[in-house]
Amino acid sequence: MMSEILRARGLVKRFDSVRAVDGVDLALFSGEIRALIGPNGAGKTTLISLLAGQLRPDAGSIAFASQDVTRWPAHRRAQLGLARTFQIAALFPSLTVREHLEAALQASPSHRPPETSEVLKLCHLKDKQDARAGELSHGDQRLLELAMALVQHPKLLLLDEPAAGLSSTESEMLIQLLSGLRGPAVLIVEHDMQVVFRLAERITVMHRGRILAEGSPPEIERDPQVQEVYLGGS
Amino acid sequence: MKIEMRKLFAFGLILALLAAAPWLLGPFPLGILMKILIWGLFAMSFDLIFGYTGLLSLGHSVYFGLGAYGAALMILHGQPGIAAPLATGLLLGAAVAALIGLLAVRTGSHGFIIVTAVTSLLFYLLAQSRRDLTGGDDGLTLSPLPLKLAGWSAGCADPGPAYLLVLGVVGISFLLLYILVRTPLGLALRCVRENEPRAQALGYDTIRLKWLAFALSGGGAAMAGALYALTNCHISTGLFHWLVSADALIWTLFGGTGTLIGPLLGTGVFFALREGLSGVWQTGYPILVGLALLLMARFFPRGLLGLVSELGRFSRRWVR
Amino acid sequence: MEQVLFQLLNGFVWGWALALIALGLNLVYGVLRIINVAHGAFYMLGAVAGWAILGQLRAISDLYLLNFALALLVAPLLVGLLGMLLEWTILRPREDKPVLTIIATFALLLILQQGVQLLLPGAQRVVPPIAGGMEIFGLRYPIYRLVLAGLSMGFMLVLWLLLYKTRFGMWARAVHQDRELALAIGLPVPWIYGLVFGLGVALAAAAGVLTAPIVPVEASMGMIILIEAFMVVIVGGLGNLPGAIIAALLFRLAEGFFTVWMEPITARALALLFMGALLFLKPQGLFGTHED
Repeated sequence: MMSEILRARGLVKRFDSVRAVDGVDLALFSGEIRALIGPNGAGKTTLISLLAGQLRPDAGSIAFASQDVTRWPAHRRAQLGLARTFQIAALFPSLTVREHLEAALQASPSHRPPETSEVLKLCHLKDKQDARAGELSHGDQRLLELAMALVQHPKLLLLDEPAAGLSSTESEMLIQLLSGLRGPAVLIVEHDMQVVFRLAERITVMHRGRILAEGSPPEIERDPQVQEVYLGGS
Repeated sequence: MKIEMRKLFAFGLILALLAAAPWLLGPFPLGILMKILIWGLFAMSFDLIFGYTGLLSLGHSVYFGLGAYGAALMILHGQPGIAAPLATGLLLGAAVAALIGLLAVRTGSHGFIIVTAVTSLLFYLLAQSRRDLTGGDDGLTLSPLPLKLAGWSAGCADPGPAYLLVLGVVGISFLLLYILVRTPLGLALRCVRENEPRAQALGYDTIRLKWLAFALSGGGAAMAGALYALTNCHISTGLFHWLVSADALIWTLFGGTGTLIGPLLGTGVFFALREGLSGVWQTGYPILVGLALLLMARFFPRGLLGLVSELGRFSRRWVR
Repeated sequence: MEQVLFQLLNGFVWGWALALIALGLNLVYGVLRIINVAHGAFYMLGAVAGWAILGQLRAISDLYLLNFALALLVAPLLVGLLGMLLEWTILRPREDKPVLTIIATFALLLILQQGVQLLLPGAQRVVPPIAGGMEIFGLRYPIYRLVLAGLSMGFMLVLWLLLYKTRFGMWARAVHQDRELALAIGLPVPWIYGLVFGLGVALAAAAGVLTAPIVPVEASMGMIILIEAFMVVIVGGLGNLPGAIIAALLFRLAEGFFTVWMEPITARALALLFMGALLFLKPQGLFGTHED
């Protein structure tokens, strides 16, 4: 039996009168790769921000690594082993690649020996480690986002559309990298179904702030409700 | 952390040159050099919060003023000498900065500018309202430092051995700041400057980091203020005025933000210009500075150091 | 008792004048997202322009009340136009880097203030357009000061009408709410920036003309009131216009109240401390919704 790493119950987040996230229950288990999909505006990024602590829920609770972190600020959750990447690459533009990894490493409480150079190799950034983040290509910036998360050895990794804007070779690289991960639970928001079906063991579908369906990739593919949302045009 | 030998050598060379200054310069230029060192320390401390952490403080005059008055009041009413007044000024400034920092860093980056500007008005008014202690606009007159070195003594017009004291304190402060910005703390501060939400997501308690930077920076400014009181023979409540904080901004911007040499360089250039252009200076100074600032903000936001490195890159390309 | 009433009335009058200045500052912040350090200089320019216009009109007309009314309209207009011009030429290119824009406004402050310092020899006086006093609970209080408060409210009403009853106001509020969206739906954002900046500094200039009869008119008159407007704006909540009015009144009334028992300078420091304590309890401001 896999152990539960994250459990969200009844999460609600309102913006003005819109319920961006409307009563979401979600459980993630250590070691699993879970995809979170849904049409634009389904509330996926809002959910990620609630889990990582950039936003506070209006209702509901979040337990992470057997602690109630609902009221915790983002940095305390990060120190407990929760790492995330952002939909739009959020880096430190005038810092070098190496400095990014140093910064990520020193911020995390992980006691494992630093594997900066391995991660750099893994993310194909080895020969760019003295470049400033602002000068990197879009694809390299996405990879650097991921590399920062990886050196922290998180228990849970939240990835917000990591393949967005990547070339096909770059996203192939990303798939190889993620499927080779051993350790963290991964929740990946992604629009590219190619990526989703190759990576995820289970898929959660969100629609209008709610969880619509959850299951293995074939189950999700067959689900009439999901087909309705994606094909029926809502 | 690694310290390059080349830089260490350069630092030693400059320090040695500066230490030889009393034998090379007359009392008047020596006095100016001493002022550059003192105000340079002020500007470097300011840059710790502005250039490294990304917060614009208009309230650093408060800590300079507190350092100066802490030291002066210790001399006048407590224990004269050197160590006790310096320590009093430093501790007073750092403690108040730590206290005010609790509020200032929690109000966002624009709120920070406002809160720090308001504190300078607050302390200016408080200092004015305790004329009995501060002397108000007229200020306090202090006697020269009781420092004697082989018959060589400090006066109000001739810094004498007081210069060496200032050089020592500023040199040590520079080294401490230099080490500080190269420790993990320095890297963390730059992360806060570049992208605060991202730094939080990595696990940094950015509020605490900003607070720490502010308190340290206030302490540095207070140290400069205490040195000023010890060597200047006269201080007044004008030191608290927010325009004094703005001076640090101007010098830092001119020299190059996000560095330690930059603020020092900017201060030096400004003091030299002020001496050279003293005629125009009387009436036109603020207008000239204003125009220059506009140009800097528009074309050279990285200051003189940025300009130098641009020129360096340019010339290297041409030499090849 | 009379002393208390007098000081509270003063606080009330100055509260409205300060609110007018703070509103301009806050409006500019709300839409352009910059803190205009030169705002106090525009207040000063308003007062100096008012003084200069009155001087010119004296040769033409003897109706001082009319002259004053004209100055009160023309001076803010001129200062507003100057503000727009400066926003277009000097502040515009640095929109992307807020700190550099703020530094540019500081440079403006130095230039404007020293420029006036060179042209204006010493402090000037402006005669109030309405002389005499009126009885309030047995206290004789200068009528003009009450008129000043009333006129400040009048300017605020005009501002409210501009913001809520015109297309320009709707656009300005749209940019305040969401700049990206405003750009996306094709609003002329650069124009709105210029107009809002002009409007903001015109409000400061109006306050300058209004207060010219009760303070010495000199180049440095905007230095302290700028910082007070800062305090008001942040305690009221950055970008929150009604909050700024309430905070301005609160600040000046507290200052007036303290002045009954102590020296004005100490009272002002204490009032600032009082506002600081409020801010400590609510770092986002009393009515703050904005986090930047």
